[in-house]
Amino acid sequence: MNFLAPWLMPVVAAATIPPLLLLYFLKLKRREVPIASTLLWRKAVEDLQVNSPFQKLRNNLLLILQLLALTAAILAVGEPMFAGHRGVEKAIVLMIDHSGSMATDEGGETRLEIAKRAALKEIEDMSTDQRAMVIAFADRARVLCPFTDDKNALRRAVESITQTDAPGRLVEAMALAEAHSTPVGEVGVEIEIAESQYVVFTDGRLADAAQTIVQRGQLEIIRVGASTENVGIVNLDVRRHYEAPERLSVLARVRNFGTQASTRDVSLYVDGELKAVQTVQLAPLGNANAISQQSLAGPSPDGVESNAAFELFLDTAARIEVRLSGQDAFAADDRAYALATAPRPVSVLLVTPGNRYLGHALEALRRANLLGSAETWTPEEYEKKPTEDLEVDGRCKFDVVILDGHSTERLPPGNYLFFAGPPVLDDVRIRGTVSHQAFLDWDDTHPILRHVPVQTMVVFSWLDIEVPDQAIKLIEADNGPVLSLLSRDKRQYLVCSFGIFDEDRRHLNTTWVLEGPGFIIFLQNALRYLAGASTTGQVPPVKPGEAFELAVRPGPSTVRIYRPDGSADSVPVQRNTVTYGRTDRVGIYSISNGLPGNEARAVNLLDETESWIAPNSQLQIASGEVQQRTGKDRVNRPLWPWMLGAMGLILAVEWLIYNKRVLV
Amino acid sequence: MPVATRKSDLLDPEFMSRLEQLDIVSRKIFAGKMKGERRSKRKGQSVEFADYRNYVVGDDLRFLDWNIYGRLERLFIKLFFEEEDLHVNVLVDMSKSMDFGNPSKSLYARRVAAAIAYIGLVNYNRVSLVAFSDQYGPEMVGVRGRRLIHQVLGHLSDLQADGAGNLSAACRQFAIRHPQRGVVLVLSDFMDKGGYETGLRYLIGRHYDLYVIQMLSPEEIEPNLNGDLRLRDVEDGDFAEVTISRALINRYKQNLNAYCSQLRDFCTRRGVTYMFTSTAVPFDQLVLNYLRRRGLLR
Repeated sequence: MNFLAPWLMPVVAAATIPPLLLLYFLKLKRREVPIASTLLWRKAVEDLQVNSPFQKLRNNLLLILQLLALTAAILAVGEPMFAGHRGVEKAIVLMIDHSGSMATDEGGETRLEIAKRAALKEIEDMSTDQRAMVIAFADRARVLCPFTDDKNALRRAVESITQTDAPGRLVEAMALAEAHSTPVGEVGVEIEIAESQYVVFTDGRLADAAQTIVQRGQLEIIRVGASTENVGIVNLDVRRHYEAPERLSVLARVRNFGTQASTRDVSLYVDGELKAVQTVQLAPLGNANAISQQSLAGPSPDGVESNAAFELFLDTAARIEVRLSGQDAFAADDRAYALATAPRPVSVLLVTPGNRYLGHALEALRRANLLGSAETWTPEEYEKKPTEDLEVDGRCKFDVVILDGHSTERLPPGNYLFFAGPPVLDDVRIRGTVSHQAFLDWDDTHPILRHVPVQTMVVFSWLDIEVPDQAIKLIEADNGPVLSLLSRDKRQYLVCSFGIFDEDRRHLNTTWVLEGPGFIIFLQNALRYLAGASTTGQVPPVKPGEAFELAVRPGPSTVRIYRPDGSADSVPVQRNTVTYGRTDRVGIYSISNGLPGNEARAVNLLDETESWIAPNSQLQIASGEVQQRTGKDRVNRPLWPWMLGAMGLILAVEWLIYNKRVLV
Repeated sequence: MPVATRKSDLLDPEFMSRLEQLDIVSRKIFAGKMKGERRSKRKGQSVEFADYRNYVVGDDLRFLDWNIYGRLERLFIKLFFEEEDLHVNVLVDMSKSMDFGNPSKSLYARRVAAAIAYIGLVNYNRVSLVAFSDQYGPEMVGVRGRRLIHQVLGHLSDLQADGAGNLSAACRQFAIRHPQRGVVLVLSDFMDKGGYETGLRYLIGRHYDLYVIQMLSPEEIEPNLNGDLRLRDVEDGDFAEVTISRALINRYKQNLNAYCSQLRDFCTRRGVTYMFTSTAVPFDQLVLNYLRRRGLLR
């Protein structure tokens, strides 16, 4: 038992106990009555005392009861707390996970509701000199209530947390919590740094737990949830056939995360109409012990995953939905959505003073029906052409513009592939030329470099181009990026620092175009990536919690975005674009005034960590395993109401004894 | 301050006339100093035949039963009960505790003593009245004859309850001073912190025909007390601080019953007649009915 205000107790005791004792010892004034003999009275009194248990105590029972009542009151003043798990930290950060897996049903209530209840208990248990803050986190962390000792404000903050389908990420939440917990003092003024207690209410399914570092303070996990059985869609791929764009293939990957084998039907809906059903049989992921670990000890068992592949003819845009039959504890991953785009051949504009390799490659792609049309302009033509030849509806008329050795400012919203010359932007500049160096690193998992043998590429020299930090560096050399991808203002720039030819365009600068299919694969990947939706078959989906941009028709200053649950948000339009970030639930978000191909976006969970709902019993962070307890534990239970109750009871007993007069 | 009681408070003439019809009965035949009206245990010269025995040389020939000698030709001496006077002793506890209750126990005791004394005087018994508290006396010894009743009443009415009771010392003194056997009546509340056993043993040892009358006031039998009290013993000034409760009252009554039962058992086992009375019982009823039923009077 801890006392939160122990200094009050001696003060109150000193003020009350001596007067009580004084009053008792002064005693009441008894009326004197003469009697014939005290012989029998004395004996009666003695008998009564002898026959009573604890007669010595009972002689002063009323005093003892009064002292007990007073002691209870003094203890209550000292704010006693039942010593729970918590230490004496004055600052508590309540971090509540409201990621997708927290929507798991736990016998009538969700994990989030359980976590909120546990957090409310923590708030209730706070002492008067403790402060707390509330952070809700999923893929992003938000401070709902800064440090305060106002329990009502903290309660309101906790109660305001709503469920999201976003993946759970602890690193940002932890950084936010530590930033708020660090006291800010004046320079030169030494301040006492109080350690904080970070109490995380989660089921432990946090994808980045292993990267989480607690620099100062103590991290404690309150584990909520017990359900384990779940089957979820972990991937959904919708793409059109390269050669026959009217053929759409839908591939859904379904995985079992439970301990029981499961057979589920995977249904394909197109614009709300059931088109096909496939049955998948799934083996269990493991036994209860194995699935409650942070990760599987070995490779996944055979049969735990299954793919449902659908082929259909669809030459229009459509809303695709894949549903899993049956019910399990976690519903958010039982549906996945995609927006199939209408098949449209990709149009390419090649701007070059003359490049037969590029021209031949584009022609080859066009002949293979991987490309709709390809035009070739010279740089001069490109600069001089009227706007209507280049732009339509505020965007570039061509899906992709390839600029070979031509840096320009004429870049209407669209997609650009630069060879040997960057876009003319404020934060992109050429620092010099690099010769005879090897590539250091490349990201061959990126769609643009998939199946591209970068290691065999030979490039004699390239421009040393400085790109902003947010650019994705696909190929890096010692000095800087060789191939980088930059997205901004409805434009995508894929900047290749070298050209096919050297500066005087007489000699090849790379053997890439000569050796195997590498270059043409790269070109196809780049065009497909940059052209985006027009070629892949679907509008790229976003994860819950991620923001997306949609281009809108010029005109209104706000548009309405309809959420999956039917509600609508009004969003301001900036430069014919809306950015929407409240994608907390899975489903299709549609816009009232979108351009063709930009009317909606699908938000899918498709996250194995979230679908793995079995609570993680051993949460490991970078600094080791974290102490866990269940939310049912009570910490620092305040005992003062009990003390007051005891005092009332003692006073009632004393009153009863006094009135019954059973004692002297 | 105790006030001397008037003689008429003790016995009124009407009651005295009713007492004249009574006599004191002794279960034992005692030897007296003078020939009296009472049959003695000794065979003597009264007219009441007691027994025969064989004649031996030296016997008074006047007591030979010549009729038997005529029939049987054997000599028998006739034995007669000798009639003697009866000593009637009344020990009255006049300690301060007897001055308690309404009517006070001391008045009640003196009335009983006066009644017994009157009966004794009327029947030519030798009456002694002994008062005691912490000291022995005053006493009136060997009074005989109806004419002395006024002295007796005067003596009794002059008695005042005072001092702490000391039954043992009083009984011891009485036993030493009154070796002759007779009826001894002890009137007391027996609330003696020194105990009653020693005192009564002195009296029992003298083979008196002993009667013990314990008298308590209604206030002692059924205390009407309430609240937080400081009970003061009127005899020795001792204090008992009590908070009156039902349990305490019950316990007091139990103790009182036990105390009285103990005294009764003590007396009964030793051939002493024990009587208990409350001063609420009308005095004449006690004398005329109660004492007669218990065999002291007839």
